[in-house]
Amino acid sequence: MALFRSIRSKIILGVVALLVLMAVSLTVVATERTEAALEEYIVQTQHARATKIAQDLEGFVQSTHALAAKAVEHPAFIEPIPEAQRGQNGTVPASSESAKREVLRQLVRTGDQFENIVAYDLEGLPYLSYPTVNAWTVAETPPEDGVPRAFILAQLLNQSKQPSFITRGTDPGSWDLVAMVRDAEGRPWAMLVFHARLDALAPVLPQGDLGAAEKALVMDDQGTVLASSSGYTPGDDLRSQFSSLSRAPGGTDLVTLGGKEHLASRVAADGTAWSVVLSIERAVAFAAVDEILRSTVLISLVALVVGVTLSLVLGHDVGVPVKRLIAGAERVTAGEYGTQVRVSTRDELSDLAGAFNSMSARLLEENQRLIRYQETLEDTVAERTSELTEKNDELEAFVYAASHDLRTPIISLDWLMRELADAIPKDHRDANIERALQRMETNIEGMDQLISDLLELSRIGRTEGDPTAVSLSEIVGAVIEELGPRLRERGVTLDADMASLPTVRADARRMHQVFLNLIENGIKYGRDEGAHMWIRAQPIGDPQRPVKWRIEVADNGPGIPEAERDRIFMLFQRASDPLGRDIQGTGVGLALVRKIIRAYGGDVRVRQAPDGGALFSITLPSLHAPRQRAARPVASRASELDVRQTAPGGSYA
Amino acid sequence: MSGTGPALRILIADDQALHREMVRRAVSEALSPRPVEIVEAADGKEALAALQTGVEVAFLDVRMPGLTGLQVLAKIRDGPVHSTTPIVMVSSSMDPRDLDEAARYGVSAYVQKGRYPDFRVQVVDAMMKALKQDPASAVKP
Repeated sequence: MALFRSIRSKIILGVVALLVLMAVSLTVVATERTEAALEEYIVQTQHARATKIAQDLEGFVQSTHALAAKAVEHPAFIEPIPEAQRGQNGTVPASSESAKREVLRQLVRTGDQFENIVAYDLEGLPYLSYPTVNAWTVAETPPEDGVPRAFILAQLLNQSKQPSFITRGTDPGSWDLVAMVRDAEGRPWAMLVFHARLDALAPVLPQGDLGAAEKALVMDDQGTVLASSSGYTPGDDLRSQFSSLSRAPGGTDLVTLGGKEHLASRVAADGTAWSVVLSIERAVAFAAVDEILRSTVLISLVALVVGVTLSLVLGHDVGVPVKRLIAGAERVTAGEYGTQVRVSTRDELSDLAGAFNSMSARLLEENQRLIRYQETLEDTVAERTSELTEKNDELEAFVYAASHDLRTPIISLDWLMRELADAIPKDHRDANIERALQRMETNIEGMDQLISDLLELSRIGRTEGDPTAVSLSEIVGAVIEELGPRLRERGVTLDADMASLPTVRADARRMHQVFLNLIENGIKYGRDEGAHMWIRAQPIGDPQRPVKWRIEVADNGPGIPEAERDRIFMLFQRASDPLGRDIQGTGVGLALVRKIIRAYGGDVRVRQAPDGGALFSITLPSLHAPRQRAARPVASRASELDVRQTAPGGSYA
Repeated sequence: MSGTGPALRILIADDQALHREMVRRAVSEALSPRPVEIVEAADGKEALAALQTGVEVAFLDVRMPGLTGLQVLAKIRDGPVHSTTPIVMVSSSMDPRDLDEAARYGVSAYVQKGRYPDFRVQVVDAMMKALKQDPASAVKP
């Protein structure tokens, strides 16, 4: 995706990702570790403290037992109250009563943890109490089956063989110490039930020692609170909350109290059915951890910011130079050779930039050299071309001059030949003389024709002639008429599709020359027997308004070998006859044809005709094509030149 | 040409004897059977002198050493010795510049030197023009 398109963003993202990862893992690890450590610490401490409290509780219980033992060993209690003296509703004879009462009173006062102490007989009937309370109230409403609680207690006491035991009280959260009273003989005769005050156990709990979110409580085996530092009152049933604690390993677990999570430890007080529970609000306990977490997060954020800044700087250091190099390269590609890139960081990137700059400068150098070389080349070519053109012109001038000068002796020769012929009367001429004269005439004619053609050739180059709209069908018609005798002589059939021949802009005389030459060639190089020629034209482009015309002149002769098809249009080049005949010609005719046609913006080529002969194809611009001046080859650009080397006395096109 | 009559005096000016012969024969054949009296000149000076003796038609070669045919033409048309004799310019090259210049002074016809058959035809043509025409008028080939 686009975000990864730049090195800079990669660096930034990479660093940021790394930092985030580090921060997160750091935080997680830190928190976890700290939490674990803290928890362990808290648990240990809590456990130790709970154990201490439990020990205090154990001590308390023991002292309470001791207190009870003291009471029951008191001489006042050793002497049993005779049965007869025991009355209903806890009344006892005054004499023994007061002594015992006194003991009880002292106990209550001393212990400060008893609300009252009631003495019962072994049937569970109360007979003495301090302070005086309604014994029946103390003894509880007899249960439905009619067995008073005290009776049960007495039974239990008897069975337990212990001097005293502690049992749940009648009120929730209360407890009673039940002790056996024996007489001097050791026979049990009464039971003392010490009803503890509800806050009796309070001193055991370390009020001042607890933190704000800490709770300490003592509860019995049924989960009833017997004492609590805060938040609970004796009698509260915490069975459900703390049930798990009894199962938890080490007696520590998380419990929910008052909607908040607490870490609680439970330690049982030996020798009792009680246990001490110390709990601390987890949130408060781990506040330190949160603190650590916060610190860690803060540090991570700081690290992140630092990291991002660093990576931005890095990215800048890398990104900017890279961008500059890219821009530089693009500019060089666009043609601004020599573009220099500035990179001021002192590292491999600046080295790269240095190398780039050298390369760029070198490129510029080479390019300039190339340009100069090209200019030199173009100059050379232009020079050559102008030399060639000059030579061409010179040659043409020479041809013109030479041809012109040659006319005079030809004329003279012709005249003299005629005089000679006249001098020898016909009847005096033998075959040799006749033949000689004939051949003289033919040769002179040939020379004359050559001279004319050459002169015409040079004239084409020098003047435009008199271009008008000429009807090629008219021209061809005239040529055919002119060549009629020769066509018949050689038995050549000529098919000319006159209707197809267009009207073009050209000099009529010259076009006449063109078709004269072409048809003459066809006659000369055609078959000796059954020779056939055809002429037709085709539009090139839109048939309604063609841009050009193609006019074809073809024969069914032996044709022109492929290797010669270019050459024959050059001056003084003649085609070889595949049939090996000795065909007369000047080598000027086709050069003339091409020169004329090219002068009017067209061209002429030869290829093989369908029936094997030569097919000459002339293209000419149509009448309404834009007028083009036939340009002499002028050197402009090397690639546009098509100049042939001038061989000595050779061809020029 | 019809009929006989007095011999037609015709000037043939050309530096080459052969060429003069050609013209002579062509003219004779063209005018035959009418008798012709040929006056020959080998250069411009002689041509000028001959012209002053009075001729019916003059064949002047454009190129001659000394006085060229064109110069002769100029002299007799513009010069002190004014002559309206019909002139036929004989040219080898038929250079338009020569012909244009000749036309300024009024020429009856132009003939191109060539091989005899063609030449003869031209001469016949030229003679007809020269004899028919108002000699002072200019004509372009």
